[in-house]
Amino acid sequence: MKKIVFFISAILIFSACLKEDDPFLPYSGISPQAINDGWEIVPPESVNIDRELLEGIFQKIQEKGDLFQLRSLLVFRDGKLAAENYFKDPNDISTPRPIWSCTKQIVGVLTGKAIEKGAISNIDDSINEYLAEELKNHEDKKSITIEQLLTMRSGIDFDETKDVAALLRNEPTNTIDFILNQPMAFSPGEQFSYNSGQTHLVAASLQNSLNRPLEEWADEVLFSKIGFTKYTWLKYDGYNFGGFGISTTPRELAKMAQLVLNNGKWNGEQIIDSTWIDKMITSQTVTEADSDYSFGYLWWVNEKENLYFMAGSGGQYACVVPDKNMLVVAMSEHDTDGDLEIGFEEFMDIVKDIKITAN
Amino acid sequence: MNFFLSLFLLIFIWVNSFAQNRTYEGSFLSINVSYLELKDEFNHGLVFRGPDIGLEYGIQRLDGKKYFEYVAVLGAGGKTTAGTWGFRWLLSPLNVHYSWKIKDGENFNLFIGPSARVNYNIQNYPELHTGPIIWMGNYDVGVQLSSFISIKKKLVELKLNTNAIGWQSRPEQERNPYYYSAGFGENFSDLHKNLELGGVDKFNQTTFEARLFLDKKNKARSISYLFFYTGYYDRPEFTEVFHAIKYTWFLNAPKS
Repeated sequence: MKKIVFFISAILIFSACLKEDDPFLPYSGISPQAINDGWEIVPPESVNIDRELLEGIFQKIQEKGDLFQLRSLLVFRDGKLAAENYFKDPNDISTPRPIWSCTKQIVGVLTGKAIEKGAISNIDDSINEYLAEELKNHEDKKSITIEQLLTMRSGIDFDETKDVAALLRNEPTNTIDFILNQPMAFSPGEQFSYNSGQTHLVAASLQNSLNRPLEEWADEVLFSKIGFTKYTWLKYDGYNFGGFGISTTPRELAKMAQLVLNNGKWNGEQIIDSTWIDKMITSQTVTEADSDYSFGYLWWVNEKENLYFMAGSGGQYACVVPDKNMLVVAMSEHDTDGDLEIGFEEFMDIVKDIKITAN
Repeated sequence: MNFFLSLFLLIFIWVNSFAQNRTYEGSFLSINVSYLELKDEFNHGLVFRGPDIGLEYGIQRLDGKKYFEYVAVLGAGGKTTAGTWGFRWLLSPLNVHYSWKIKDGENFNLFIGPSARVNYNIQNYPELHTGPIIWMGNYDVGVQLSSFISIKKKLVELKLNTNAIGWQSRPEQERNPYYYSAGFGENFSDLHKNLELGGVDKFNQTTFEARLFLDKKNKARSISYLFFYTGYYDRPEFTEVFHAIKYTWFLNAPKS
């Protein structure tokens, strides 16, 4: 009897009952939809992209399903939208979703505008010029410069997992003080250490210098000029989160990358100084030894592949391929981390495949 | 669940001529080892699978006419899928039924009565949802059927329990991706949020247990096959299935 019980139990125990859902909607092609958002829509072949090859890439993603986190993939060339697919929900075309750390690259662009407007006189300025009140009790951080924050070399020991979680959990009344309260891991300028705390200090420095909410100013001098309208920007204590606070759509995110690809020009108007754009996308610091990825001023750079890009947690990307005058934008589930998220290499494989389709 | 109901009735009809009485008054301890599958709408269609272990403490009063049982369960386990992993805890402070013998032929033994249970099913995925817990909580009343059967001088108990109506708690469908709480107090409070009343069309939790008493007097130890199903059919949907082997010590039973 015991053997029968064990036998039946063993069979039942190892019989799987539940099935995974298909991660994507049925394949719907790559033709973009006109929604009057400022993007000119063209067929891929009109911008010298091999449609068959490009469709094959989208179909392969769809069929393989291993990138189940991917929500959208868009391809732009010569400033025009040539292909897109919203793999999980067609409403993603106009629904803002968190872009997490792509916010940093937007703060990078805004820093250039702040320099042009004189709000930041020099990126070698100490942050004490802009955060004097906040730094009163943080002597060890007064010598940190804006440039060190832009290159993630301030030395502030802000843990990208633990301290970001603490910021998110506690809804602090003073985000700046929370960041400045973290210890120093090394002397300012010594080495690269990526974290959101540093970018939040850049955003706070801009806001203090401008003496007005950063979002309001950004809308006036940048967002409204390029039609970046479908977005929200998180603010807890009066400061917009510089490290990870923007939610937007893939098409809006692409506008920011297109502006950078255009050297700061939009519809013929120079919105951001081209010399700043140059510096921003030029490698300023190594990230890790032997890594293909370096860091400009808040922008990721891959010199080997001649790419620069925006990157946010979970797989939010806008990649500029300058030698093909091309953008590849992807947005993914916003709540994946670690090995589960679509990492640089997985996204770069897609970009490299798409690059080949452009003649 | 029709399968398990049919199985229960089939076995019951087949063996009812061999039924025998069992009495017990006291507590018991159980340990179960299971293979669990869990599918939560928050997990992007993934099914997490893996081993689970559960500990039960219970009180049982079973005499010739009535059958009362209280059980508290603590379960925990790790699950994997798609190269990632997560934890699942089951806190079940209340599982109770009070049943009356409704048929007591010479070789026949069937109890039926109301049941109630409170379950907190808590999940945490380090690489999903940026860390905070997700949960399925339920507070239900339902019905329990129990029968004792003798096969080749061994005693078997079959139990089937299902809910009828109750309250369920799930996280909001659209969770704020930025602000969340992770303190113990806030998490405990979260487990009671968004309570909604629903019947079996919205939520079903069914357990089936086939227990074999191991010793000669059929009193001190038993081994069971246990099936546990939970389905929440509203959004965000939730399904959990586990099959377990359970070993039980009846602490106040005379030694065989």
